Amino acid sequence: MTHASHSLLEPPRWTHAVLRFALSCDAMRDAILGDLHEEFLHDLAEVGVRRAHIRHASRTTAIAARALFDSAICRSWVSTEPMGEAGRGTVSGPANAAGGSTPAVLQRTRAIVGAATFPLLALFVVAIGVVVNTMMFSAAQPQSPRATSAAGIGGVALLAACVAIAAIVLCVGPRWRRKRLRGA
Amino acid sequence: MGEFEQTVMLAILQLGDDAYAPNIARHLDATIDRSVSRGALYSCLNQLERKGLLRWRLDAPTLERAGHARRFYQVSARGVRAVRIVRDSQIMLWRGLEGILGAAK
Repeated sequence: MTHASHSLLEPPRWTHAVLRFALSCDAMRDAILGDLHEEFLHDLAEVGVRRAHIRHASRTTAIAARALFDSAICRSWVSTEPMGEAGRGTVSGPANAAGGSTPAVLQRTRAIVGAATFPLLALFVVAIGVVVNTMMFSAAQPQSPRATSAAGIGGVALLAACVAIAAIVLCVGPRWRRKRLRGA
Repeated sequence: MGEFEQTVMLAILQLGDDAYAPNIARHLDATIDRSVSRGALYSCLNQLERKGLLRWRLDAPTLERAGHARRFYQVSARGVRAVRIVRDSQIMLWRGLEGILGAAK
């Protein structure tokens, strides 16, 4: 078996990097990596190499996206004590809450991503408004002047609504996040 | 407890000692014909764990899992109480609706 064909029978390494970035809790990440590996081998036997890789990638992306979203709203995936071990500290729940063995650079990057969530969301809403506005104008241009003016009014109203939503997200989001962080 | 949380709790109760994430997902897939996003499942398990409704234990790492341990979940006593309360309240709500909805499958 060549090296290339052998590597196809293993889950891609980038998924480890993605989960390492997205999950701060070592115990949680370890179990999830194991689950993904097991499911990858299961898929390999059932649906073949290509689909197993696609499924693995989609699962990893879904987990990372959800973990980052939960982290942004201060609901990080942090392990509690395992059953029968409460108080013994065999799995570092509180230590993992503070990062555990996760490097400080990752911690800082995660904090920046968390803080940037709401401005990015606001930007996304405005971008949608601009794109839809442009599409409405370009679709209405070949039609009658009446259709153009209707599209213009609709487009401007939509853009104004998007800007208003973005402003609300920008004002309320960070405050709500700070409040949750204080409560956590 | 949300609807998805209830579903996951029931799946864990049904799987007994074999309740770990991929098995829970497969069980939900097979029993209620619902494909579960892994992100949503792990997030839900995390939430239930935080609320004290689930407990977990680690199995020995195996080669099949590239040396990673398996994390088995079990519904805690508090979780069982919560599920019982939900069931009782739902039974009350379902009662007398057979005329409209027909008999359960």
